Amino acid sequence: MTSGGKGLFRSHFLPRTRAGWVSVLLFLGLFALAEPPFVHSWANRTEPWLLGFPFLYTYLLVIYCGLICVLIWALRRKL
Amino acid sequence: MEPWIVATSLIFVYLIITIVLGAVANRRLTVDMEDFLLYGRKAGFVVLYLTVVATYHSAFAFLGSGGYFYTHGIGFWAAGTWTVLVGGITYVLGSRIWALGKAFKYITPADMLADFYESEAVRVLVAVISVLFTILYIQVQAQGLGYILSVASGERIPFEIGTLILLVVAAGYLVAGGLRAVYWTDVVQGIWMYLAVWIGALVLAFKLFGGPFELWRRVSAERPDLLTLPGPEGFFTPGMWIGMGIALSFGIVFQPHMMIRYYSAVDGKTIKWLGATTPIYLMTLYIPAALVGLGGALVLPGLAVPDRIFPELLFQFAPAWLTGIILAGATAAAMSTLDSILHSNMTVLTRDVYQRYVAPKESQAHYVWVGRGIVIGLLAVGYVLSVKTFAFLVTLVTLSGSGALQLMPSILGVCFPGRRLFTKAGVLWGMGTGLSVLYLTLVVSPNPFASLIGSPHPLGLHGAVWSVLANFAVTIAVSRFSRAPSAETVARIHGEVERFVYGGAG
Repeated sequence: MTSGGKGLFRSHFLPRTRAGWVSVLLFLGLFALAEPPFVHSWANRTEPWLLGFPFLYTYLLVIYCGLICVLIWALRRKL
Repeated sequence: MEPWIVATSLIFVYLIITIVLGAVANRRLTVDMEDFLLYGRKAGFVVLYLTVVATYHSAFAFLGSGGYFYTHGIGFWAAGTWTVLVGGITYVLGSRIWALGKAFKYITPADMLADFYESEAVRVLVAVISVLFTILYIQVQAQGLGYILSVASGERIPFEIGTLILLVVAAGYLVAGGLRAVYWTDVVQGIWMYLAVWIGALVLAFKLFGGPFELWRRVSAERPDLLTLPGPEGFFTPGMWIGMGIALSFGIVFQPHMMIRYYSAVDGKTIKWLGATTPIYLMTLYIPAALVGLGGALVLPGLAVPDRIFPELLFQFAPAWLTGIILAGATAAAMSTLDSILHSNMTVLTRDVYQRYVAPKESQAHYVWVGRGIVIGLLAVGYVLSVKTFAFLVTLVTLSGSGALQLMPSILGVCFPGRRLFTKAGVLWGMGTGLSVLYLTLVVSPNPFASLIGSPHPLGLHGAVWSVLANFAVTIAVSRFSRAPSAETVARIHGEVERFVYGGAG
């Protein structure tokens, strides 16, 4: 442990259960859809209007709600 | 009755409610540092939920967000990404911070980091970052409060007097009831500000446009440039979108007033509930802000100070009673952040400086009284910063949003056991490098490499992202060649994380 010490425990950066993998991948996948390049290219438009709002606004709102649902799902699975 | 009398009276009614709550909290206070500084680690879901959301959303969310929509259009809907990310960070990281705080009696962020990295230098640097980069928020919120009271009274109450009144009230209930008073007032503030911004925006949308849907259609017809990226002034580029997302999620969560909230929870499950559900409040507060900003761009174009769009619309188009209620909501938004930062700075200075280096063996009551004295001192500093202009403040304001972000590698190193450990030297050099890069990219204008990479945000990427990338690179590199924390410490702290997350010994 004197130089460039190695950890004593298995890495916490990788999920250890199937539900853990599902929630992490879903969250990251949805989050990526709310980031460039998607929002600045494909989603960057007003048409078609959805639910009375321009496309980009509703598109992002749906993704944000999806991300919250992933967090609630993870909570219910006790992750 | 004249509108300014109604508006000002409602703000004072709100202030009286907070003072009463502070007095009641004082009667419940026990002479104990954990009770005064951490609510006795007994905060349940409802109280913690409303204090977290009220603290996260400051006067900026109430006034500034409308200004952003007004100027830059739909690009500010990026706010949804960072508010949802705050939920994810709270869920994953906040729960681990709670577990370590509970197990090892941590009170401040520096307690945790100094314990793991076995370093007083880490404690001092983290305490300095904690105070330096948040004390500016006292100034910003206090100025917002003075402005709100001045506007509500039709400038009959001068800015300086308004700032002083509201600072004294916030500091008063904090001194009386400690974190309990802050939390209880935050409950009122969190509910009040949410209802106020929604009711105000909907009333204006119906009155001026016939409803929110018609408002959006009018914006599309008259100002289509507000409905696509990067916006009329080209502000929301991909680099800014990503950078603001990181700075306003991780950068806020790692500030001491947010981390202290994690420590104060009654259990880890409460933190996970917070993580899963706070984005609902945080994100949906920007829905009415969009109505205010975009609608305001059509009705009152060319405002010199776009942040004033909400109060300007209210005074011109809303009844006096509603204006008063909503401006009281704006006061709540600013005060809920102000009191939390006063409290966290008091906590850091009492715990990490006074108790550690000045008087380590005093009684609990002694430290509580010292904390109260520090609040009075912070009140004075906050007031002077609010009514005076100092050149160095411009620099600090520029850096403040991204300063706490420099704690990211060190906190991940504690809360996420990995294949390799970060070391004391690694995190110290990393934080130093990150702060230097932040200074070079955001403050030195143009930066020394501007001709090659641009300025102030090199290659179009927010300076906060460059700083944290440099911080990580240096932390990882130096950690490879420097002494790691002792095996005993790693086993104790990472072992606790392992038990909390997976319930076993790993």
